Order: sequence, then C-alpha cells, then structure tokens
Amino acid sequence: MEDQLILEKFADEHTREQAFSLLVKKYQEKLYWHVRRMVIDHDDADDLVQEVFIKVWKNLGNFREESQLYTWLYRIATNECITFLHKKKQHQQISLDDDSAAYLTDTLADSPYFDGDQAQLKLQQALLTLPQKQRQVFNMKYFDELKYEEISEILGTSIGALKASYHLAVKKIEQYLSGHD
Amino acid sequence: MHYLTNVMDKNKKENNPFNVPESYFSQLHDQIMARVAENRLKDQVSSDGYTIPGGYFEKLPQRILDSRDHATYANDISGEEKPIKTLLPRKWISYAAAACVTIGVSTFSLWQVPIKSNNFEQHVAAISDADIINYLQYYSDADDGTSLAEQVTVNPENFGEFYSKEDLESYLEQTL
Repeated sequence: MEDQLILEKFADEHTREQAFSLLVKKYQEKLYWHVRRMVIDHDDADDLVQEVFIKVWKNLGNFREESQLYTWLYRIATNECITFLHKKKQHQQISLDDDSAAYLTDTLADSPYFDGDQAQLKLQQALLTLPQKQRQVFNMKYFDELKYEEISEILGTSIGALKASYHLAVKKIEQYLSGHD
Repeated sequence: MHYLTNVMDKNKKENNPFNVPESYFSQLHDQIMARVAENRLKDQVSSDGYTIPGGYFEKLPQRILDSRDHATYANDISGEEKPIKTLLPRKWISYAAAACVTIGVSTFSLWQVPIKSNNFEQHVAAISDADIINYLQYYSDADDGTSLAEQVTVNPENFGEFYSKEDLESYLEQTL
C-alpha cells in the first residue's frame, strides 16, 4: 500500500488502528535490519524497533510530509540507535571521544543470532572499527541500498560529505580485510 | 583536410557548452577506485550474516501493538494517580515544617532547662548536710578548694562571726 494512503487512513480516527498496523507490516523488516546492524544484538534491536514504532504511533499525526515517510521512519530509528549506543558506552565507561564501536565486538562474538561465515564476520568486525557515522552511511548504502539523496534526508548531511564518508569507509574496510587475512 | 580537423577541434573546445563541478576530475579517479573496491567487496561479502528467531516478523506486529497499548495504558494510569504538582507549594510546606520543628525544639529546650535546675535543687534539698559533707570529704580534690573559694561570698575578715577558733584549727589540721 502506498504511504500516502496509509497517512490518509491514519488521519481518520476510525481507520487509524488499521493504518498503523499496515505501516508496521510494511516497514518492520527494513527498520529492524537498520537497527540491528547498528546495535548488533537481536534483543536490543527488538526492544528498539518496538520503541521506534511507539514513537511513530505518538508522532505520526504531526508528520508534515516535508520528507518521505520512510526517511522519517529511518531518522527516528537512527536517533534511537544513537541514544542507545551512547547510553551503552556510558554504562561500559568508555570514553565518548572514542567514536568507534569496538565495544560491540564482544556483543557480535556472543550473539546467538549471527550465522555469518568468516568473510561476513570479518566485514562486521571491520565495520565496528569505523566511526559511528561512517558505519551508518556504509550500512545504509551497502546493505540497505539507499540512494545518497535518501541517506542525506535521513542523516541531514550533504550528499558530497556522504560520498566522501562512504568511499573512505570502503577504503578502510579493504585495508582491514587485507591486514586480517 | 588536416587544417579542417584542427579548426574543428579548436572550435569544439572553445564552444563546448558543457561544464563540470569544480575539481570534478581530480576526485573522479578516487570515486571510480572506490566503486571498484565496493564491487570487489560485494563479490566477497554480499550480506551481513545476521539471523533472527524463527517466525520473528510474523509475531512482531502484534508485539508492537501490545507494547503501544501498554505504554498508552501506563500513561493514562500515571496521569490519573500522579497529578502534576507545582514546586512552589511544596517548597512553602517544607519551609513551614522546618520552622515548626525549630520553634518546637526551642520551646521544649527553654522549658526543660529550668525544670532540670529545679529538679536538681529539689534533690539537693532532700539530702542532709551531713551526707553532703561526707561526700565532699571522700570525693573532693585539691582543685575543688579553688572552685569553692571563688564561690565564697563571706569576707575572710569576718570568718570569726561564723566559725569558732576550734573549728578553724580542726579544719586546718585535716586539710593541710
């Protein structure tokens, strides 16, 4: 179903519940994987994706359609992930100056829901060495296959900066993989 | 023919209506190399390797709806049972309570001091002079003499009016 139709149904009190259910079914997988790649652990991703949809339920009435619905959803999910990772970092008493996600390496190693081969594991380990924003950009471009225009809308960053960030991320990952053969 | 080619080439360059962003060609090489690297990486690793519990996405919509209902219910309940209070009355009440306690303690102390003093005097009055003298003989020390001397209001020149010579001699024999 088209986003516009979902929004129209949500605006009507009688069909709001149905519209929300349709919205969840349409975007749950995309948002889950976006969150999961950021926080690594399935249980954390499960909690966060529910939080994201509760926020969507509360705020969809204020959505002004200045951006596309799915970029708005991705933005909420991204912000939830950043807040969560920030808290996790503080809880583990890791300096906020350290922008990498190396503290999630154990989470990746302990996860019962990671079934990747050696190459996939190495790629994820390489990703955890990147600064947070580079990792986000890489995930959205490489795995979610979003366009730079869409990522720009989600992260509020210029397309030029995103391209530079992505290319730098690819370069670093290549270096990491060649150094960890 | 050669002349014509040269002229056409020159004309092409001079009248080229197309342009490129600044420093485009200096960045193009890096961008192409990055795209090549990306393709090479995708050939090696095309997916992330993460998995989920079986039937997860089938159950997730209902769990989200349940979470939403729970959150809404919790908001409603908290809204009923915990009305918003302003800080001003709370502060005023705490200050008033502190003032009441201070006044109470002060009043109690003021009443307690004379009562205690009266009690002490009543106790002392009930003890015979002989008992007091015996007590002082056993438990007084050299410093008590100084303290007592300070309390004496009788002029030493008038001792004779209160004490006989025998009493004074007997006292001096016992204490020196």
